[in-house]
Amino acid sequence: MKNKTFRRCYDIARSHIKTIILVSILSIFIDLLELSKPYLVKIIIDDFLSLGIDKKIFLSINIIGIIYLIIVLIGNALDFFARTKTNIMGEEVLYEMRNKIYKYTQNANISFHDKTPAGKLFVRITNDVEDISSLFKDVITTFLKDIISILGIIIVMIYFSLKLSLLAFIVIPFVIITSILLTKTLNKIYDNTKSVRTKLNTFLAESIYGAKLIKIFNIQKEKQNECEKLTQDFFDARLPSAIYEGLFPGLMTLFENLAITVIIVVSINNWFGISIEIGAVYIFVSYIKSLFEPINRVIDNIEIVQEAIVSINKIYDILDKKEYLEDFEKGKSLSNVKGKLEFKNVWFAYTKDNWILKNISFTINPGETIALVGKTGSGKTTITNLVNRFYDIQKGEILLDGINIKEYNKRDLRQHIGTVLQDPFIFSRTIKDNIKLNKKISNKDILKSIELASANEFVNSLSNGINEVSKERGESYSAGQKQLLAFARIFAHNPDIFILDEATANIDTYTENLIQKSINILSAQKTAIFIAHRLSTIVNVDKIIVLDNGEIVEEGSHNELLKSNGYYAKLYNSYYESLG
Amino acid sequence: MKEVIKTVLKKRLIIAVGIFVTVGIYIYLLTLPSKIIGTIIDLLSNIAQNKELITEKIKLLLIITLLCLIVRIIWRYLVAYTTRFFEKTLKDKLFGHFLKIKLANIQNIKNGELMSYFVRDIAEIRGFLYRILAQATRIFFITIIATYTMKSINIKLTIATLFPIIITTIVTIILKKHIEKNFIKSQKYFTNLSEYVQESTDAIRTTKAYSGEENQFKKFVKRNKILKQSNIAVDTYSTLLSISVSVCFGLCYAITIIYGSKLVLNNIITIGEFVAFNGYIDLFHGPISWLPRIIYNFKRAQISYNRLNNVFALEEEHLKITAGHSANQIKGNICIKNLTFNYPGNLDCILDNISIEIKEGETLGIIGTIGSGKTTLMNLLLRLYPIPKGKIFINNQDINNIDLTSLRNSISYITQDNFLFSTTIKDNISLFKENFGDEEIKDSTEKSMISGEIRNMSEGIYTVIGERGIDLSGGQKQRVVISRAFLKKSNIIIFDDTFSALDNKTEKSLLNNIKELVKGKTCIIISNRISDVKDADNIIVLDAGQIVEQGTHQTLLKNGNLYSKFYNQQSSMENDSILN
Repeated sequence: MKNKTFRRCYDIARSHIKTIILVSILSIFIDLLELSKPYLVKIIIDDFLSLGIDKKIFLSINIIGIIYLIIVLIGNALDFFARTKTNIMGEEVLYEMRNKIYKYTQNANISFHDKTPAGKLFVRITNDVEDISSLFKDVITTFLKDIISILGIIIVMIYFSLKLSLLAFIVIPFVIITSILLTKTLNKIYDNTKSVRTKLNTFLAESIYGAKLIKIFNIQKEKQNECEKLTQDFFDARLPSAIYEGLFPGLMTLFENLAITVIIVVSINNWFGISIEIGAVYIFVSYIKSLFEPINRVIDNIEIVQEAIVSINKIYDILDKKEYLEDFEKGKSLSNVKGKLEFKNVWFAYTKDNWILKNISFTINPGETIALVGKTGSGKTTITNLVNRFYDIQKGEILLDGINIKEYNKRDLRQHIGTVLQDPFIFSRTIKDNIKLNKKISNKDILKSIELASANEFVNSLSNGINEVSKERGESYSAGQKQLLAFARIFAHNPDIFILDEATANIDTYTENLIQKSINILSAQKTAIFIAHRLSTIVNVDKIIVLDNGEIVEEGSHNELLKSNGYYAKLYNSYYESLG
Repeated sequence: MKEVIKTVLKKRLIIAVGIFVTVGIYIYLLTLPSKIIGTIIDLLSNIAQNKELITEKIKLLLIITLLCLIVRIIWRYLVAYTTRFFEKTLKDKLFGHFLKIKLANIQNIKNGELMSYFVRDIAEIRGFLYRILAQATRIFFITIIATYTMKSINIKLTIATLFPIIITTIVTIILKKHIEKNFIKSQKYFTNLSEYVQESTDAIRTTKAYSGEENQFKKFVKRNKILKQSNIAVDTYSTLLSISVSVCFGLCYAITIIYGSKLVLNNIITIGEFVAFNGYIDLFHGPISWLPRIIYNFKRAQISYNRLNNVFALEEEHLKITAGHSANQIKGNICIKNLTFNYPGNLDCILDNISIEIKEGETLGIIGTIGSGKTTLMNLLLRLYPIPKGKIFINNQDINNIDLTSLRNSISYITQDNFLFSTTIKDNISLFKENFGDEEIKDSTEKSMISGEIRNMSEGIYTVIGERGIDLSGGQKQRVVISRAFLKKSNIIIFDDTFSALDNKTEKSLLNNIKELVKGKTCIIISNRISDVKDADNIIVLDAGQIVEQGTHQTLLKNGNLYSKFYNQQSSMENDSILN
């Protein structure tokens, strides 16, 4: 398990090893320069000020002052370089990880997307990736730098006085324990606050969405009470953090001054045979002050590392599942499709042994149209998802022009199958882009497809015509209009097999007529499969397949099925009666 | 907006004063340790003589550190309390206002935009308040107290060291401007990328069906790269900022070393004062980086303040009319006289000279194409939009004279968007009103044909649905929503296109239950399907905002106009095939 995490971290860091080494070496220099600063002041105090002179053989206060300034400048220049390098590395990592996950989600098959909620993927690409980048931006380099500076300070202090240093170090365990305890307590509060905030924001978002409903049913008072309760919860959850946030720096100063107290008390009393120069007191005070900062940062960074490891594992748990990835290129290429489609004893289950399709067999000859009829869950949609290999079947064969569809490459196969979904997806791009998607199609052909799909009246009514940009998810268009656009897509891409999952949403009679017109044109030209919800759509198809519970229960033309007076006839009659 | 600030200030004025006082004390205490350590260093030159004095000073140091800790906690708590209380009050007030804003005023604002008022703008203003209370006050006191203390040691040295600090403050303000600019850009790119990710995961089936994976990925990489570059710019400027602060303080220390030493050698200041001076300079570390942040926070907060002010300025609905008719349940004789309507600020006429009369106990059917004005007419009936006097009457009362609460309480308007809150089924039906028992709720689900499915859920009517619970299908949602009408039993009941996702059998039984429910009540059924409206006492055909036909099913069929055309379209294919 540990090993796996390490391999994953290495995988991310691999292309940045050089930067990491360079920045680490620079950090050592920066630390050394930083440590030498209080030492210079000590020299001035002990060797000049205490003695009342301003010049020695080689040195003078002015020269030391200038050396101090040069150290400041060089140190900061190196620091700027190192930090910029690190930041760029962090952003590169972020960029690479986002690309990796996005690519995975695009190449992963539909089963993957069924199992993984879209929100989860979104969080992986946005938040989790940020955690990793802070590992690279803040931790990898400062971690080492801090450790070096902690060790450096300890060594220099011991060099001045071993006994005094040991006494001063008594406070270090307290610093560490307090830091860890407070960080833990604060994190608990923050986590708690986060979940309350999520609740509050969900509530607000929902109320905004349901504004009209709230008015219609007069539930303003109920909603206001709920809001006040949630804001109070948030207030109560967040407030305690102020105490701990206030406590932390105060406690650190307390420890710092405790250490200074110990040093001074011991040295003035000559306990343990310790006596001290004034300059050394200065240097001890300075070093103790600069010792706490890296210690606390290391503790904070441990937290960041833990979070980053969790995120890395979450991300790689997805990336490492190669079984979901689709290979679009593998297999024969496919051109000149005649359009004969055969299902031979097909068995299919989304999850093991939970058979959705049981031994399905049927044949559609080139140019024929079949309709799939049955209750929700009878397996109609599943059949259409098998033809374009959104899912692969477990038993049996699906043949296109006599060849198993598994032998074709997926890209070609899908290009020859056109599907109109119940609720077609409209990208927030122009109508033109929505029709051509990723294929190069001329404006002339797009306009022709729009006309063939009877969408011209609707498109012309838009102020920018085919250049009109749709709102998010095509929210500005009705379900019927979206379907018309989806038909235009089909006409523009001209696939050989046409699959239609008819909309259940209410579509007005006028639009429904336009849709019907498109359906008629397409089914006259192509091999077509319909999932029909309106019986009026299917009475003219060549064959109707009635499914129940994953099995074919009836099969035949409309008139044949009516005559046989089975399931279909019952369904048909009830619809007709309802019309009066 | 101003009022909210006033009420918070009035209620918590003492706390605000408390904050000011505690900050003053805190800063004063902060200057003391450096001074004490300085004194101790001076006393160390003659340990034997000053031993007792040093011990006393040490005790004082510890006491002051402890006091510092306590004052700091009190101050932080007061700040957090005030800012969070302000946030809560503002959120509650804004929500209360939002619930009352006229629908026409919020309809043009995107949901995401409304949400950002609650989340981003309030946070921005709270953030600014925090900076004022926590940082601006500190800057104020540090400048006064620290400068005063430094000046008391030596005025020339003070001026010499403060000079670079002032210069750096100006530099940081300028640098911060660039950071801010790039940060806003980065945020925009990030939103852009997030939206793209969300769209692509939602669109995955369409993308796959058209083999668009590679293209989608390319477009993603392009966006990702822009984001990366923009982030690097922000990072670089930020690094530059902290480096310049660090150089500035290096310069200050160098000046103290060179110039301060001279003063020591000339016996103008003591070594202890020389050391203490360095400690005072440290106090400026915070303010120098806070000041630019406060300035830019102020700019952002100003924008947010104006945005919120605009929202608060949106006109509210007047739920109660003092002189109005406020019977608990209004009986339903509805009369609409020559109603013409267009949405505020929109020239298109949605309803054109509509006159309708519905007697108590009658059912009206409305049928028409999308955009014919059906839903608008219902919105006006509930006065969701302002409507001129003398147009709509209920029980001979102009609806402008009926108070909104009792008007809406008397009408059950079931809308077509079947919106559900993510809470229990029970709360979704009763809409948080507590005066309904479980049995009544169950009874209403029985009537709306959803009780069977609810019984199969583990928690029954207490099952949580939506974001925090299970997903319902479109048909199930519709039936849950319809249950509201069976529970509320208002005198006027409206079904606006609410049967579209139901199968024929369910729809038929449901229509029967509705007939039972609306006996003696006024009912309006809007639909595209003839089967839903054919039994109504009166049917209106709407087309482009006008009533083109009116009558019973039989008379309308005889007329041979639009209604019979709809009828023929909906049953033509069946007729054809039967004739065959």
